[in-house]
Amino acid sequence: MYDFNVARPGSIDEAVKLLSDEDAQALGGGQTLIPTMKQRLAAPELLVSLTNIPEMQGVCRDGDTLSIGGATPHAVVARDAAAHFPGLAALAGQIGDPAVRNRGTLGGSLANNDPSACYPAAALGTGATIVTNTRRIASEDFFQGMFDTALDEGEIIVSVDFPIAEVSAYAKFAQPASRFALVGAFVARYADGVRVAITGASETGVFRWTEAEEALSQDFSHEALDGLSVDSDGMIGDIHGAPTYRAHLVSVMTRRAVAAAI
Amino acid sequence: MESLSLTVNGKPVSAEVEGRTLLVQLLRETLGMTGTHVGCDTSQCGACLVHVNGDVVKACTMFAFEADGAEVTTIEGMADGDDLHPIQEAFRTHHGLQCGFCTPGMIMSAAALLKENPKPTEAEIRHHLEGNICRCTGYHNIVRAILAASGQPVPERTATATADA
Amino acid sequence: MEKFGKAQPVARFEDHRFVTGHGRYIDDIAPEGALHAVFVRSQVAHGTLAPVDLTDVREMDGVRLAVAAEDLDELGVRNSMKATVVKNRDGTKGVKTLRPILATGRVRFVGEPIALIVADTLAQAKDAAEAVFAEIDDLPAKVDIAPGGETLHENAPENVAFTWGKGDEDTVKSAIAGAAHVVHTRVVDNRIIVNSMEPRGCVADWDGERLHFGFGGQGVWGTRDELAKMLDLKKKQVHVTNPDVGGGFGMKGMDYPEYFSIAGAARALGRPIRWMSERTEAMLSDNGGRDLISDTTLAFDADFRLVAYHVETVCNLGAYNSQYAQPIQTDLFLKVATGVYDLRTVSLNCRGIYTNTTQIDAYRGAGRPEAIFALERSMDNAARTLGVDPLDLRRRNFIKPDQFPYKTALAETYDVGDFERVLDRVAREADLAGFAARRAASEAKGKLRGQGLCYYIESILGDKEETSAIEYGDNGKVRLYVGTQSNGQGHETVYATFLSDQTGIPVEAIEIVQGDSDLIKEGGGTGGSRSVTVQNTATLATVETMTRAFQSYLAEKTGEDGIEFDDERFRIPGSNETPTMLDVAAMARADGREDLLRFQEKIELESRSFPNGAHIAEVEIDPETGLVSVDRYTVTDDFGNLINPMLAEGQVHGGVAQGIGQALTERVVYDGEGQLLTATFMDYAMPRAYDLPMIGFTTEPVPSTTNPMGMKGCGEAGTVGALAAIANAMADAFSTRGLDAPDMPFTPERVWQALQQEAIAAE
Repeated sequence: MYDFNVARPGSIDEAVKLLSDEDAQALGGGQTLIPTMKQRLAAPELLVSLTNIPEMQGVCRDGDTLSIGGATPHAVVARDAAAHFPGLAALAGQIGDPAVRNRGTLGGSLANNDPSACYPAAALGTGATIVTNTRRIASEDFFQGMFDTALDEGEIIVSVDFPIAEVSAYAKFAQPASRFALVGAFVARYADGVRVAITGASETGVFRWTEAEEALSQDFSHEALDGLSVDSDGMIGDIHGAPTYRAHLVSVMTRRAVAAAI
Repeated sequence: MESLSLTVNGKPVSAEVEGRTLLVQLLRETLGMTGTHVGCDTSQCGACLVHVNGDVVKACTMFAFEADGAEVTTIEGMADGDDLHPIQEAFRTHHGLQCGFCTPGMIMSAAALLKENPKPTEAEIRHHLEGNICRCTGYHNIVRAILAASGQPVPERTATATADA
Repeated sequence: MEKFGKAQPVARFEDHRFVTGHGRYIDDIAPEGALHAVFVRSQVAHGTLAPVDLTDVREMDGVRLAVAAEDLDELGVRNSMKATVVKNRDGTKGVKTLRPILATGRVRFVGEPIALIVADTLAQAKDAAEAVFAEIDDLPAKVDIAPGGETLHENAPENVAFTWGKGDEDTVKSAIAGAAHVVHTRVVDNRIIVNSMEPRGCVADWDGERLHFGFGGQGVWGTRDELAKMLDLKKKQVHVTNPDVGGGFGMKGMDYPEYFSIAGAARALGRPIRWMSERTEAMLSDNGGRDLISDTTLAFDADFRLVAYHVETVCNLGAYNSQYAQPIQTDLFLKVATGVYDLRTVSLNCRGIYTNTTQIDAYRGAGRPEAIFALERSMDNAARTLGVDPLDLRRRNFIKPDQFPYKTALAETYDVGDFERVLDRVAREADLAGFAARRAASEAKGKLRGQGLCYYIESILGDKEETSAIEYGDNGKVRLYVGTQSNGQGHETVYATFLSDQTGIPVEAIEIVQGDSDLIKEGGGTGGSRSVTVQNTATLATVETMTRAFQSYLAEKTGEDGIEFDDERFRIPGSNETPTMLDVAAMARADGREDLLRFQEKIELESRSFPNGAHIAEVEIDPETGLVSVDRYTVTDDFGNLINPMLAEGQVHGGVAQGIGQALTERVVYDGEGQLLTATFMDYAMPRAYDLPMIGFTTEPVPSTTNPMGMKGCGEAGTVGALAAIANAMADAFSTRGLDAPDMPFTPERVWQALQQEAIAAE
């Protein structure tokens, strides 16, 4: 790993100032960034740790919205969101392993937008709003392809507002080695319809399976999905799963998520 | 260089480290506490687990500077003098280790589990160990040791012979 | 006192240091101020390497030494590693490859060491390694296990290392031609990466006259001899030690190129050097395991009795002959090729192939898991094909108890065994009777369930000779010097308990000394499930010598004849004195009898022993995802007498887990360019706790007659049995859909894809 300077700002303003330097890099829980830096695949000159900023921590309910600080670790979400939004809490409880969940953060996961990460499915599957230091970004606009987001250089995810679903669940089929999602489906029912977001499967990253959403909005049962499938074109193919396998798992995991939600 | 002050196993420690120094390097190289091990480069194996402010974390995937001001507990801090921690004792009694390399991480992981869930089922134990890899034991006796440490009945060791050995 | 001891499940003495974080592994014992070594490794699988210019690198911050192949002469290190070769069927010898310690003119696998950098800090060494430019002209990579492709070694045309064979092929052919039933099976035994949790590492230091070399290994003497040869030192100038070792599994039993260049560098610099491989580095450079394809033919008479067996194997050697690679799928496979069956007409052929992949060598069981997997997978396939119950087919062909000692057609003489008894027991323990109901329950959930049996037999290997020495210290302690090396098996406990049982010396007074070539003159190391059997046999011989010497001494002292030792105390006729061993040693010390304070005996086992047993696995498959779970796993073993049943059972758990890992999760993928795509735990799936069930274990001991304790050895047995048990269970599950199971490993995608044949077949 190359060496770097560190900063531990106590406020968002201070963090934004530090991150305006183009060789600065934000550090959340580091659960992805540190292994990347060990491989010398990232070489920031300044690491700005975001874990000391009180406004970026914690889970807070406001009516039908659950607002979660960008630097909140997965374990805290799994625990503190359980009473308010069990589907979301359960998803957070399936990320990585217990030690990873104690360090990895919501904002870090979303900003990285790994195509196999779990949180993007929750954000897109709930129609969440990503709140940064400068603006509010709808999840539809936030995810812009594998490892790509709408965030500008130096922009920080302060919090994420999740509309609380009536019922929801996440079904994940784990890649056997990394335990990331080979395919994960987040299904959420709202008064105005059902949302289905799929992670792990597509070369363009997390996506909404609109055909399934329409069917489930009519009839929220796994039978409603009978005969529906996604095209394997554009699905990820790697040593753990060909595009056809991933496309198949999209249907299976979506059905399982619906069954779990009911 | 970063100056840090933290508590390791109840003792105050100060150190000067580079930004890139990992917590596990601080423990092993700077403080000479080699019970925390490194078994992979990608945060999978869990040989490096320690507790930071009561939470179990991977010391290979956390910078030392991030532990500034924290209370760190390592495997060396689990026993009370000569008295083993009940989880350590259970690993010994139930043969929950062979080469011993993954063992510090397993014990730190088990301690985190039992704090949160004092009477876990076998399935919960196996699930909790998702981030701890062992190559020697097949996990069989690790699971039994954790059941024992939680004060629950342990499935009998099954070695029985019909002939009189 | 029985010579096999008290068979107590004694908790291990070594565990206190391991559970408190005070184990001393190789990276924990680096001398203060040691320099750090990092290797520049090839990033391409095959290519021509230009001489490596390290001039600029040597000027970098903190760099103390930078060495490429061209610099080894100056360092006084030979650039060629040793390896055993086998005899071809035609009597000629297998190919000897030049295996350099630093790539010389050519690179042959990704991860091959090209240069060694030694610097003050690890970061400086890495910076320097990154700055090295190795000019490589790519050559096509050869990665498939078949003759042909771009030649790796000029003296190995078609990349064939050897064409080995045993047994008369013509006799076998005609027996097959005349048989009532013939079944062909292809058995793919997938490659694995050993992945001991502690990767490889070493420390080296030169004091001006002698080399100290410490490494995580499985013995010290072979490495001492090689270091002496490669560095042109006298053996007595080389001191080799093994500290606590975080798992070896055969992989750490062999020498590696890194060790020699680092030792040479330490001598050149006169400074201690430490090297610890990172996980990816280990996955690229540690010897791999398995990786062979066997095409078998089983021939039966009308009563389903075996009349002939032929095996045609190709095995991967990787880029070079590793130290013991050639004999594994040949001479070691041969040891148990015919398993537990009365089978007289057998032939085996095996060709070894060089590929642009990491070298392959021994992995837990080395040749015997492979032979048993081939045979037991084939027996199961035969039972299914011929419509015979798999247990019945085996029973018809077992060697019967009255046939022992039984000389197998090609290799070994089995001393004892009662295979029917073991099979009956495992069938009960596994609740075969309840299987139909369990299958129905699985089907009701939409799952497939299968059950698989493997009856394995194992041949204990390694050096038949071993030495024990017992020494009385002036501190009241008794030191037992052993020639084996614990890698986590609990030898300290087993050996101390055994010595205590035999002598009455309290275990607390016994210290085990292992892994030090200065303190112990010779030894065979650990491997081949040999350790406890050979070491305790040697200890027993030493105890007998010591007992006789003490009896003579007491006779001299007291003038009494007929002094007896009852395993705790000496009984002297006409005296109330009943001295213990420690008492007698104290008397001898007081009398100045130094000759009575140290005893040493070397033994040679007259013959091997043959652990055997049956494994029954039950798998459940989720056809929607292809995910396989092992629902039940039952083992009944005949290990003869057990010294410490708890530790023996632990060996079985671990062995089974490694077998299940190979069968279900562990997959090595090289792409067409020879790049390893599974070089981290992010892509190489190590079995996790929830991938495994509790493992039922029982024993049906038939004591061995080839050693005084009646032991059989247990270190590898679990792995030997597991592969076929799982593969046969998968075949059984697939048969419910009228399909053939895919090859191992049974990863979810592979299983799901294979199940899609059903839809195709139905069309």
